[in-house]
Amino acid sequence: MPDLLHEISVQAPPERVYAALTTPDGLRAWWTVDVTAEERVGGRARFGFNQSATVFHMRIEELTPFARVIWSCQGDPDEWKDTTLTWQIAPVEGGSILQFRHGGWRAETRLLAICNSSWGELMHRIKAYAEGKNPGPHWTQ
Amino acid sequence: MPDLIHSIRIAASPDAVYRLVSTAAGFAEWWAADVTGKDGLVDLGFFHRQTVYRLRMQNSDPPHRAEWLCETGQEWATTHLVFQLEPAGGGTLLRFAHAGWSSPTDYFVSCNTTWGGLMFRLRAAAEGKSPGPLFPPEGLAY
Repeated sequence: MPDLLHEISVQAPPERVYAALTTPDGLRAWWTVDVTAEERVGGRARFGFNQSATVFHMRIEELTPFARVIWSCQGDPDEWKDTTLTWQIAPVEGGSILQFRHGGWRAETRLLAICNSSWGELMHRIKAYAEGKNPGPHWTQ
Repeated sequence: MPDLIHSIRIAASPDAVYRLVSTAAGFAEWWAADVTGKDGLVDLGFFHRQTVYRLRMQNSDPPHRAEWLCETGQEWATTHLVFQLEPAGGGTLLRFAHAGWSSPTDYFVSCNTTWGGLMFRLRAAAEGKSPGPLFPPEGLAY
């Protein structure tokens, strides 16, 4: 089972990185403008891309303040179904380290490679947002 | 031997993308500002040359494939950078592998993230958007 692993250092405290991952305003600031997200375990989150041409539905599995966020993908697209997205935030001198794992892929497909690149780009946007640089969402409609 | 695997669709011809992944001048448009050397042997400097990656062209098949061997760097030495380009929908599908790492270290993971950012810079450069390199002379562009 291949997992996509990412890591980036952020010159901002864990609280700001956590807000980027857990609040609708935070998620809209780096991923996509089309977000609805509940801020509770067991809650749902929906992410639309390109005027809902693609939609991801997530269940929020864990919210450990300023340290860990876990979502499970409920499907749509099929290759993401039952995959798990785990974010870990650790405080370090001068800021945070953000680690990410998109686990549970069933095969090393072409989409997996494309998603790996997109996650790398998105990690840079999360960093920029947490550092107050206002990168804007990667998907704008 | 773990590999980093990336892919991106680009609205530009394979010829336009090939130039960016096969020449020193091309690398300077999206990867690092501090690039020296002739085509076929390139030094990329990072963070005021605290890190220098020397790349030697191993195989080239314009405009389909450019493969570089990295000759320096504690973890990059002996790894390969393979850019494969195929026409797709009037543009190019780029498939990239940074292959032959000896182990999946923390640096392997952070390089995976950097390659993701770089793929989008490469795409923007190929599409004429002049993003500039992710690594300008003073650290990261972000």
